[in-house]
Amino acid sequence: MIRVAAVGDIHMGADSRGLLRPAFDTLSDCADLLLLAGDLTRHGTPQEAEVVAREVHGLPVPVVAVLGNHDHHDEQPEKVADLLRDVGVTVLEGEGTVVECAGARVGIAGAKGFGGGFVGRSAGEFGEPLMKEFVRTTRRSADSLRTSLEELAGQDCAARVALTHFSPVADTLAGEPLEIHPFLGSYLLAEAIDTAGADLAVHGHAHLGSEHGMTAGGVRVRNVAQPVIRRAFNVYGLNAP
Amino acid sequence: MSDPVTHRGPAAHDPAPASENVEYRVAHLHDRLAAEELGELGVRAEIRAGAVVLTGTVPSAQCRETLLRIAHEELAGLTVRTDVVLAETTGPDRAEEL
Repeated sequence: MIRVAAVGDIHMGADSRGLLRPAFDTLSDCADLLLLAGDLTRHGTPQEAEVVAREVHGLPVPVVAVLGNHDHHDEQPEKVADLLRDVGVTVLEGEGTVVECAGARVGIAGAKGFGGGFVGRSAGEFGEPLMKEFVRTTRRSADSLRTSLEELAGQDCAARVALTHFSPVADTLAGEPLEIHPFLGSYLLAEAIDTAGADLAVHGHAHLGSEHGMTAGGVRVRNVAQPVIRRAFNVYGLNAP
Repeated sequence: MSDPVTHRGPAAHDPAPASENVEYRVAHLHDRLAAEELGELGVRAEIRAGAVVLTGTVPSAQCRETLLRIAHEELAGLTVRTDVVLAETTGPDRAEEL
């Protein structure tokens, strides 16, 4: 059993110091790794990123993260990522990593993702350049997620996890107004996950959504936005072969 | 913060400026919550039972105080009700086996 802890949307700022650390310090008892599903800060400033870094520094389990839209707001996502990497966090954007834990290899493919909506109610790559670029941004992110998962398939992993900030499915948006679904995720992410295969897909972003969902291809999806799971993190047990 | 919220009729029957229209004021509240120190996109503000009702989850008690201050500034003169909770920071009591 590989125990995957995950949380997203912790939105840390100067007043958040130490809020999550007591719970994170229990990770060695209940999990083998921690996934952070983006929106770790409020504005994506280096100061906020340092609060996050301090919160996860020296944790007893490997920490793998993607950034979210909030982490891009200050337009320094690389700086945010570097501050997290400085304390040992693996920050993924369109790439994969293999974590050795619980006597097994766990592959994690991570990408922020982007919006566009879901089948039959989605934005198309058509019309104004801005509109086309919007959809192409999502497509590029989904393509990088698929490629990363495919590469992990050849690396003797007992389990593969897709980690995004935006949602791959509408299931886990239940509770959010339908009108904003196109800003919360895209089916292109789910198509990438189903094409390459994965054992679990984890995302955040949808604070009013729900935890459980599944892609059209049968991959389980979990929305781990902190307001949704109402905990410092949740833990999912994956059966390793 | 006591005047109940009432929906205004079409502009042709109501000379009130758009700046007093409750819907636009709520929209401007959303803009401020996102743009200012909270960077908050997850709080919902909706008109219910003659009041603007704020719901959602924020990361800290300070965030909630800031949220309420901005809401009262932006919606001055309107009835504002809040049901904003703090994010839980305890660990889970069990794992979900998949």
